[in-house]
Amino acid sequence: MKEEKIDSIECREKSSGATSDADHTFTIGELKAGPPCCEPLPIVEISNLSLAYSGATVLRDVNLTIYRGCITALIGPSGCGKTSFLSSLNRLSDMNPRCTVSGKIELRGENILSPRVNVTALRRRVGMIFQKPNPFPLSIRRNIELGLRQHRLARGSGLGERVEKSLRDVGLWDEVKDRLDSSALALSGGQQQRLCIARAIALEPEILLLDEPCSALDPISTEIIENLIRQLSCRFTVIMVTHNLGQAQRLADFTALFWTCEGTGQLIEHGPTADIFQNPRHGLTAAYVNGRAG
Amino acid sequence: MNVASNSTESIYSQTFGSEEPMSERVASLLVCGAAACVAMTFLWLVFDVFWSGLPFLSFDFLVDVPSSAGRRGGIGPILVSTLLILGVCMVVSLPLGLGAALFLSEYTSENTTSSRLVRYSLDILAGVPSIVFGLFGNAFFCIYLGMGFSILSGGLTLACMVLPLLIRSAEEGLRSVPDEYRAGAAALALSHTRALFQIILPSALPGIMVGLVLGLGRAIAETAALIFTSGYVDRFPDSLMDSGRALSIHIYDLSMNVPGGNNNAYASATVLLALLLCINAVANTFAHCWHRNLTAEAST
Repeated sequence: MKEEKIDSIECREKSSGATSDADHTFTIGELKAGPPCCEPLPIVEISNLSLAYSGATVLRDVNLTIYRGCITALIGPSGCGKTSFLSSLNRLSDMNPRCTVSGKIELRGENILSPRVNVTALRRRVGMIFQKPNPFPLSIRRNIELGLRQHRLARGSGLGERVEKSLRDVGLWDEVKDRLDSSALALSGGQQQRLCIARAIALEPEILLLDEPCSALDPISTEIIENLIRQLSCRFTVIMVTHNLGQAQRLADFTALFWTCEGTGQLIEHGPTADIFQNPRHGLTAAYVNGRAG
Repeated sequence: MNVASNSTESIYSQTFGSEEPMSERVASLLVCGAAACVAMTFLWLVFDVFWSGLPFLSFDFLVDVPSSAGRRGGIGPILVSTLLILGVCMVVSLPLGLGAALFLSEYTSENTTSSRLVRYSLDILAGVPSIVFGLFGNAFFCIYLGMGFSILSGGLTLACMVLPLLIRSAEEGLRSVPDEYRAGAAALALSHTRALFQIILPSALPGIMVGLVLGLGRAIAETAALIFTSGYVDRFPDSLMDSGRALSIHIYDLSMNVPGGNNNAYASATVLLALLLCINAVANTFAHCWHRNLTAEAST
């Protein structure tokens, strides 16, 4: 009888802990995005963007506006250029010498494709999370510190505070606070992905690019990451590629559908998520979201 | 039910059963036989050398000066010369080799003309007989650069010889580092140097260690390249510019030119083999520990 009582108290504590975890206050990132999408302000304007590998065009004439503080989901069948598109937004496409990008990507009015752009500064402003969690084979602490040290965002004791802050923001602090100096590779897949998000937001980017962030994770980790993404969008502008239409519907304020037409990826339709899923203007969109194509 | 158990049985017998075709069994027998031959050769060699060499091995042998052309006395000065030659070789070849490997794997893509040229020349160099390196070392270091027969000439010649081995295996080690680390570093806008020294090089360390062991192994066992460069003198060397006899040359000299030198030749060979095994073991343990630290079992 007594034991039961204790159990129930613990349970309540646990559940209250869980809720306070879920709506814990975010610390990193200025809260300037405002209530998302009530008054959408463009932050990135992409015009006539084309992308080619060794001369073969994989993406043609994309015109798209990304709104500040919103989650934009990029959907579409595999191989239609979504990931290539994403990697051109922080010039990670530069890593592949065969890749050429033309057109304009204006981040707050500045064309980031211009050769004069400082790519290091750009990538600090536009963080990226990959499909497969890729923590460095270093300790959990060092994974976050590397970027902070590189960009001189903190030093001395400030470094530790910053590490704690970013880990708390992704809800990982309580799980790892006792083993900050053990290898990040010992974490589970979901924890690794949250660590990757923590080390990205530690740099206080304006935009976060997420390339299928849950596709390598189990359903429980996926749910945790989805909640996290929802919270992220209050502080950062999020652009995510996803193959999971339900996820796009659950999370995204805007959705863009990419499709391969005659061997080249194109943007078919873009708009508020509700419109894309309920009142698609394009036949392909209707077919794709209803599972009849793709 | 019956059907299910039948099919399970047939799968079981297909995988583990005795109905393995003859050709499969012959193939696995041949493969195992080949592996056994290689292992036996190594074991026989080690056994023979240790069996004939161990009885003549003592602490005095390791520190004494050789006398009577090496028939009596020990190998003290020879060990010192050998270690000095190895030291020179590694001090020169390690930074050069790592630099070249970094150039090949991190600064050029695999298909550019420059990297192909470097790789092609390395492969040729790796196959050049050591006597040719000896002649080159003699002409270039001893005569042209005026270093004479010296430990420095010998070490430098050895460095030229082990560089290709070192570079190619370090390059392999660097290439085996997953590209996700590079992409992750780029996405965090880490500088190339920071990514290289804090993420990529540490991850590639086991591969680099393998290269180092191969290089050291080749260097410590080298005879032909040293005869013409580091010389024959079996006293303690005064400096790096002094001539010094390497262990392998000592073994060669005792067994070929000194009648009655066989016992000491075997004892020296035992020391050489033991050194090789030690280097291997140390490098392996180091690489293993490093790797375990990096990946730290999920159970911890």
